[in-house]
Amino acid sequence: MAVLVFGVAFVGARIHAPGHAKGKAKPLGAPSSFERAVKRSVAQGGQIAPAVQPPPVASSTS
Amino acid sequence: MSADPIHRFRAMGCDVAVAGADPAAVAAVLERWEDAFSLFRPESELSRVNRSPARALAVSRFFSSTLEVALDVAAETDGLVDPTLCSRWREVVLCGRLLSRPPGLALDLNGVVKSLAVDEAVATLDGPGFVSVGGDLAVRGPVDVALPAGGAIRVVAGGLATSGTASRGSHLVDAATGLSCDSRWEQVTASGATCLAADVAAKAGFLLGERGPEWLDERGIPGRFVGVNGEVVENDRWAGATRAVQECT
Repeated sequence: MAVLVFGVAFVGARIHAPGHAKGKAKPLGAPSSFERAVKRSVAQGGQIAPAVQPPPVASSTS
Repeated sequence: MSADPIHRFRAMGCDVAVAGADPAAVAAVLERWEDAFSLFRPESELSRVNRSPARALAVSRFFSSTLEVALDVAAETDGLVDPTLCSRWREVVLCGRLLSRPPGLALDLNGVVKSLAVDEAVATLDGPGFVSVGGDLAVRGPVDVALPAGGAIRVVAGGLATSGTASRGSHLVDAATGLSCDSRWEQVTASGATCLAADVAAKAGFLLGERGPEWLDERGIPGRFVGVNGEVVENDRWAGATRAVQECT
């Protein structure tokens, strides 16, 4: 009797609330933009200002 | 800048200028890098790696850490600065000290070696000074630096590097085509948090042509571009940094 009641209740619950659509599970992972932000960036600006003295050294192609 | 004398010598095929440091100590640093990565030295580790027919081989920690930087640079620049020079940098796999790449795929680490050597050399300074190798430099304390096509800039911190075709012809290769780059720029100078950052930015800015100034601005990198027709273009970051003091005076 208990099994019958349980079975009816179970089927009723499934009909009443079938649950969400189950898609293929996707692995959790940080977005690539986040990874790029926290990864050491090799492209970071330096600090410059107008020159005030005759330069002792030059920057050029080599 | 300090009143230390400037020591000048040749290393890595370039003119070197050093202030505030023992030139012998700097020369030793540069020699170690050249000994490991010069393609002109048959017994350098890089030359031996390129000659090896093995698909996978063990490399030194020095080599693996440098190659890791080169691969990071390739990723950061979407392949513009590429250690394979032919857009195949994704085929190079590094796992610790184990290097795997298709046999015959040669590596060229010139895109990062000189600037990394400069960054290591400037770390030997105890006080204010600078190390410049072939015009790519890093500073400790402010240093005024002459620029291509005239003018000068004060490097307050970090590094400054220039890339282009002016002195040795077209030595930059467009990784997408494998051919010498035909850019609208003759020289590009960039300011970076390190000499490596500056050098990578200057190369990328040069290779990107018209998009160079904007690409550097998007990353907060000051850049100055000298066109093949002699025009000088400063991106917003460069212009802002050099104009700020003038507006206050």
